[in-house]
Amino acid sequence: MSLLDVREVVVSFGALRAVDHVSLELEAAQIIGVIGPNGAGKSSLFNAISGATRIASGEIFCSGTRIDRLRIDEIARSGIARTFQNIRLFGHMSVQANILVGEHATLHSGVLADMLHTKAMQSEERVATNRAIELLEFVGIPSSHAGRDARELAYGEQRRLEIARALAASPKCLLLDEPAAGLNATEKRDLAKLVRRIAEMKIAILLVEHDMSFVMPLCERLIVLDYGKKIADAIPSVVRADPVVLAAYLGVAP
Amino acid sequence: MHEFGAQLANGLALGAIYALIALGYTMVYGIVELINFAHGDVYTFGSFITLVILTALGITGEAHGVLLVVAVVVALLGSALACGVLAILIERVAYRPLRNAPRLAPLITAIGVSFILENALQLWKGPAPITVPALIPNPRFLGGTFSLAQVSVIVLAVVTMFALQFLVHRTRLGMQMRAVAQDRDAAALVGIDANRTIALTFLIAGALAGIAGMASGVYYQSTWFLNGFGAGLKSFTAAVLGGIGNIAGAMLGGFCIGLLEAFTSATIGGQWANVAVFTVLIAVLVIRPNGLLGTNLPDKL
Amino acid sequence: MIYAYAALAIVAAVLIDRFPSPRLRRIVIVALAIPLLLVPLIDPSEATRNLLADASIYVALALGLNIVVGFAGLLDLGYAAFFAIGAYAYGMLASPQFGLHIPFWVILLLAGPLAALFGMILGAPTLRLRGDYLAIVTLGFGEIVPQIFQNLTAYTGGPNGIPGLDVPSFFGKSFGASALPFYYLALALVALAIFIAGNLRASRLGRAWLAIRDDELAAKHAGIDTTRAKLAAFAIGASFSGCAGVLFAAKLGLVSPDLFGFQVSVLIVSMLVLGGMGNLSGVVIGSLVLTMLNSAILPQANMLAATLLHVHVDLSQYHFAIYGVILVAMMLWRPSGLIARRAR
Repeated sequence: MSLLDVREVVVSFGALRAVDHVSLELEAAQIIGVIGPNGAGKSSLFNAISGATRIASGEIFCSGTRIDRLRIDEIARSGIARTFQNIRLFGHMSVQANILVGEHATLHSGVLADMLHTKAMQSEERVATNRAIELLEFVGIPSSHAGRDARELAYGEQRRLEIARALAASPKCLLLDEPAAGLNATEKRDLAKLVRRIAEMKIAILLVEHDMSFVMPLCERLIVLDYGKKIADAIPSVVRADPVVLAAYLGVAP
Repeated sequence: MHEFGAQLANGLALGAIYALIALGYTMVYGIVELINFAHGDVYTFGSFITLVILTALGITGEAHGVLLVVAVVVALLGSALACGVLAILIERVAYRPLRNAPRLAPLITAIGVSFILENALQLWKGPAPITVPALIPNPRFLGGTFSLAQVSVIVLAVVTMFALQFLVHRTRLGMQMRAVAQDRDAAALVGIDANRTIALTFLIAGALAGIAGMASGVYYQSTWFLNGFGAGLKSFTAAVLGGIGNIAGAMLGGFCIGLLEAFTSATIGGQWANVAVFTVLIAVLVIRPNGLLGTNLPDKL
Repeated sequence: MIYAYAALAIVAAVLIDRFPSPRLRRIVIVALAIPLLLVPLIDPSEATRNLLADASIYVALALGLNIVVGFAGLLDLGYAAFFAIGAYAYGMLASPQFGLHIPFWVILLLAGPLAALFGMILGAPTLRLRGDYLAIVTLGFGEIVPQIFQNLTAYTGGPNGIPGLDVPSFFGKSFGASALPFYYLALALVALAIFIAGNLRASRLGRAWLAIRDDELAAKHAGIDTTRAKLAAFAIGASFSGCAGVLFAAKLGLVSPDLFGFQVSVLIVSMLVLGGMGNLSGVVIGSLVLTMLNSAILPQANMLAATLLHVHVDLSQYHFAIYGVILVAMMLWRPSGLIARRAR
């Protein structure tokens, strides 16, 4: 069984099927892109996998465990981390604290230890803080920014901080929701490098993206959604030439 | 059986007043998702204004014929207008600047406004209960179970509810209100002035509180500065019980809470009425937060 | 003297947040705590001691509520209910009411867990509600609790409450009629609250609260069990209120249901709003300012108005309006409190 295994998932809003019997498989270290016109169901698929939306039918497994009935936080702890299309950092917390929140599930201190700052708690915090700084540098944010409020960061840095926060949970699978949105060409190039380095850490990556020039060279496979249905699932060069896909994007019948 | 009838009448009349207040909560919550905590005090203000108007008309007790009609109409309109204006003022000063602030910010200012109003009302008429003239004569109906005042209050509430239903579902303003409630930005795109629509909603909600204040003042022949605190909370419970944002629900909820209070008072004792109502509030929110008739609101996080 | 104390405490609170080094901060805190301990000895009037004791109890309450409202972002409008539970625990267990005379210290220790338990009983079913509904549910709870104490006349003395509570003693030495021991106890509770709240803020749980307050959905996606984290906030906050309730009841020598109404809950919320929700030193300042305003400044202002302007007003009539103005004005113009919050 694959690391992430999505089987025949359906997401409905009333009469509308936002995701219509979509299946996909994702292995560790793989980068797969989900593309499609606006309203094709890409975000709904992400919300379904990460638990933000309940699925109407189908099954989702993460490394063999069924996760589609779990709460959001349980899904997160089972190894799925995500970023958001419209950045959702903890704006009033420091950059470092944002990453430490990401580490939440990997830490073990209890209420009493937190109240009293026991020796064990303090040493765990030290390790966690060091790791936060490492992650910060890994995504390319200077560690001198660690103490600033997250909302004060530049837009591109906020996007990368969100990725660092997601990585802090030591996920098996990372969902990136339009990570390149609003970035300039240089930033996009850096982001692509970062995504590849994350994949090298044996993390499976699923990303939703509009920008074809970003997705094509980065992803080893592309899944195309249209009106909630999967209309293509192949390597980028094949998808690019697929008449059905072209029709969906251009709005003409194949 | 006679006792049952009497409590039924009490409960329905009380429920009618709660329903009138609840309509205002539901309208405001429906459009700006704010628990307008000061709404109960606007209702108290209405009962005070009613007293002022009746005094100005020289009424000290039961009125008959033309004088009765004039007194009722003037007190109702005067109280509704005064409360509507007060509600608009409150919205303008305390809520509008915080429309894009975190959700709890306007709730906190609403509590602040409530305290300011209560203090102002206390300074105006003192801390003790105040007598309102017994305006309505007292023939009885249905085998003597219902008094004229009770029937009037109930009819007033039901008629008001239907008028409101008509306003919200059949008029241009109602259409605008529903549009703003659903999506303020989209409504603005099609040329609806959201600020004006919200202000008008507050005007209507305030007017409803004014009508409720007039009705309760005349029916109970008494009011005091803290009247609106308990009544407001219970009416909010009624709105939630019926399904917040739902006009018929607010009415249904109001009657349920009124009956619950009347029968609790009659059976277990008046001191348990509040406990019963607030227990219902907690239970409804926990078990069925959408209320009996469901809500028209999307459950945004 | 009272003003000197208030000024000192305010300066202390402001300074503490400005010191970057934790060690230096600790030294400053200790240096400033010593005069706090000495003030009532320098000014031995019972009125001062009484005022200081009350002020400290309110500071402890505000610090407890700050964990719920300031840290976790849950607007609890029924916080006084836990205060009532602590106070009535003492009232029923250490008075002639049932002839039980359980030692003060035992009840003081048990009040925290007891109030925390009630906090969890209230919180468990309700914490999934959205913020404004939760506020109203807690308000309902806050109305029910004193009403129940009032109604269960056989156990609680009804509307009149329970008078003649035991006077605590310390190793056989009775507290007597002095408020001084209560002042020191309340001060210890404040110190404990600051210690615990400060520690929590820089911990896994504290970060989880702040994250929930900023963006609950994102917090869930970060793997935080938000219901559990909120429950912890409720329980810890309630336990401070419970302990403060025991001190309050023992100091007053009686409990009655009218001492724990909605006004008390809103007073404490006003303290937080004035000082800045989530800001420890701000909360201390906010609660001191409001207590001083109520018990010292307004009465003095009355006298001032009478002597200077020859107007006889009772400014204490305006309490509610003052809380109301604070809530409105602060939210409109200074939503993060009198002292701006630092980054965390």
